[in-house]
Amino acid sequence: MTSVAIVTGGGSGIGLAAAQYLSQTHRVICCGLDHIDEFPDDLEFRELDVTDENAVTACFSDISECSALVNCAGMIVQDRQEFEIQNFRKVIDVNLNAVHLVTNSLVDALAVAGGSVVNIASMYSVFGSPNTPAYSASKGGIVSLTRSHAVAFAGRGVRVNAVAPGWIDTRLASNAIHNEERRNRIMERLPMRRFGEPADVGSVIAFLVSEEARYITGAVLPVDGGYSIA
Amino acid sequence: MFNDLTGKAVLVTGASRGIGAAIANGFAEAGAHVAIHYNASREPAEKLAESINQSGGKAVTIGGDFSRSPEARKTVEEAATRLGGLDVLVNNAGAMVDRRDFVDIDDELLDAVNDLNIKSLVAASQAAVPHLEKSANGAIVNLGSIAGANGGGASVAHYAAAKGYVHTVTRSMAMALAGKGIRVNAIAPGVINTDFHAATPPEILNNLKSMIVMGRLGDAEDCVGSALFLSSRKASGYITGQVLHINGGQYMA
Repeated sequence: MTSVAIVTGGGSGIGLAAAQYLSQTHRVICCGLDHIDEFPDDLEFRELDVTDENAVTACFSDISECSALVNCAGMIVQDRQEFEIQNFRKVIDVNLNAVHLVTNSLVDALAVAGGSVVNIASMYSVFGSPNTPAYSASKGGIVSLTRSHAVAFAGRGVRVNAVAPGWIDTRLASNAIHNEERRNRIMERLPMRRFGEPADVGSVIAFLVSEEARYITGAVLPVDGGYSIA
Repeated sequence: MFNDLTGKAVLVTGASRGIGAAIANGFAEAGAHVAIHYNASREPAEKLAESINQSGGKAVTIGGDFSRSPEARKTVEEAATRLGGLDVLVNNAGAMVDRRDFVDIDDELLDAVNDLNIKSLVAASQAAVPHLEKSANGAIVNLGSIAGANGGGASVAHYAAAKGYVHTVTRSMAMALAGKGIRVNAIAPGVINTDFHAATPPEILNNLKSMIVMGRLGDAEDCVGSALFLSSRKASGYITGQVLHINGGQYMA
């Protein structure tokens, strides 16, 4: 039987890149609110609101074994709108609470397969963000949640790690990357002098869920061209 | 997963035994050409090279005493000459030298630990730069340690601090060498069951094991995938300046 990999937010960006790597070794199921028009035919897509408990349960009701879960669904609200409490709550719900919800709903299936989880942290897990406080708080929370799940599920043979992407050319980062002034400022500080591609993160996720990483759990690995050290 | 390492020239220092030997063998299995550096253990180094060469790989051995940094430079030059260049340097040579209570650590022990774990790592890396910058896949992987992050135990301050240096210099080197297209990262093993722990008292090992949520000590093979991963541009081309912890979930619980 082919092992199953589930990627939330797998319809675009980093999630889709991870799904494409994982499809070399897994049957991949992408879930999320939407997917790009060019979504590949060979990947399965299930429409899902990851914050909806009943929908999550229903979505995975047929999954008895899962060898990889990538919690990639995420959102950001621009233009300082995250200072509004309803937006703040919404971002925390999608970026943090839903990761706990989805992992919890799949942990039995992960244990059966000896599987592993990769969460998406961020450089904003560590930095303060002047304009997106909910996004950065949610990603700080992801680091703690990753470690807690790593400790909680190790006894069941489930590893849990996170990647912390820097400036990756996706729709979440497009505001910054396509604003010339911000783009130049970022580039000045970025040791590798290039923005990342979703595939740069996808390959790291594929490593972390593989047997090559079998003794790694609770780790948070930045994928940022050196931005966070500079 | 790391098929871009095929044909790459790789020097692994301190590769006659333990983690270094496993990493050297892992590179050979990925199709890389490896230089196996050894100090005291010539015989196991030659055995490893022989087994690699017999199974269709390519390996050479180079002796050198890394308690003296000029020998580290010489080892790198010899590796580059014999492999026809250098794409990857794995700075694995290192040791604790002795377990000693903090109040009893003297200059002699500090010098011995720092000469081996710090000065030779810096010297080998400097010597490698002119070769690595010619590669499209230039990468350095340093061996840090969980001790470098958490201070080790009560009797290993000298070693833990040297590994803390390795973590920090990894970040500094990453910034300094990014412009030359060289990525620099470290792996930080937890408690790995090799000769390194031959002299560790059993009660300390048992206590350490009880803190590892995966419920087992690591083995040398557990470190191989991460060293290959951080050396492979295809797999980790956007990662530099990072320390990847391989510890079965030790220090969180």
